[in-house]
Amino acid sequence: MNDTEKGILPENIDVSFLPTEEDYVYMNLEKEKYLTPKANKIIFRIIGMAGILSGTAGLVLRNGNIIETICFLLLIAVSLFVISFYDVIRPFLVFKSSSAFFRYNEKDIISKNLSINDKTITVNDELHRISIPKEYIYEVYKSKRTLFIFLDKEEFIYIPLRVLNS
Amino acid sequence: MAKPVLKFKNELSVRDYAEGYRLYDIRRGRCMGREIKASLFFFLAMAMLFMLMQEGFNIPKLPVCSIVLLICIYMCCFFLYIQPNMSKHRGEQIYKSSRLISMEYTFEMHKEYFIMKNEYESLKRYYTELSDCIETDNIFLLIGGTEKKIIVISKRCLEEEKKEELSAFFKKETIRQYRRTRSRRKKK
Repeated sequence: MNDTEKGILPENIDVSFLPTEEDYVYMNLEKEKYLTPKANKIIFRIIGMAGILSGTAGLVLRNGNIIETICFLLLIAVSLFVISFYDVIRPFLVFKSSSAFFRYNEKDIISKNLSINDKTITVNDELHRISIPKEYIYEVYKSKRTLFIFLDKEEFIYIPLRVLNS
Repeated sequence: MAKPVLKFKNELSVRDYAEGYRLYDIRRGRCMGREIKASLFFFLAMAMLFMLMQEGFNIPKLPVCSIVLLICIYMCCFFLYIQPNMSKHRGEQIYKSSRLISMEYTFEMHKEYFIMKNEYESLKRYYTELSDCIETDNIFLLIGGTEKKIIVISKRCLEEEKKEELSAFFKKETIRQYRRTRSRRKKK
């Protein structure tokens, strides 16, 4: 963990919180945005653009066959889907799936207690307890609504910022 | 607290975790199984090839069908070869980035749940929370829960008798989620 990230991590706090559906959904949206490699977004945009260009070229050069026209329009529609995948489609799917997941597992979502002192960070709930030195933290990322404390490249502890601000 | 049915210590190697992560990653999503995803693109590629061959090389169709064909071939290769290797590589990266995964954990298997713990972490998970319990030649992979979604138990650290006991235990307790698959990597 570098010094800038250490600065994001609040000092000497002890809070309890129960994640709400809104916390959970925004956490998933912000996590996806942060973890998606930029290269993936660029590749999808290039493929989408290529599809739109070839679809448009096909429409201009077509022989007047109705099936061909439908095929080219379909290609343009698919390309639009591909081009907007990471900006519109995926966030929408994440929003829907995490909202459904939360509602389905609402009874399993339990309150957490988080405390951070000079040397350690402790997260406790009924089923899971972690108490680790700060050096064991891989990365800290603060988004608009959530503070992510990554224990490795994928596993993380999250705290809604509303809890820290209250 | 009730006495555990089974108790053992386990320590993961990078290969074990990468294998577990690969299995988990290729099973994510609604359309499970890379073969299903790849075969969908294969059939689409075949349809494109058929369209190209049927009416010869007419100018407007050629670039469109070729692009779709190339994308389909890439997606077939992606699901069959690229994605499993990427997942394995990602698993290795996760293992290397974590100070907890490589530590030794003590597992206590109870009738309805199990507990895994070491000096920094303790996790209790009910079998009903699991969506999958997969056994390969080298590992047991437990998928499920709202956090720490994948738990890998290496067979390398277990004695032959313990492995069989644990396999029988999972077969009995996670009857709906249990599955036995063959490992991709050779046993050393």
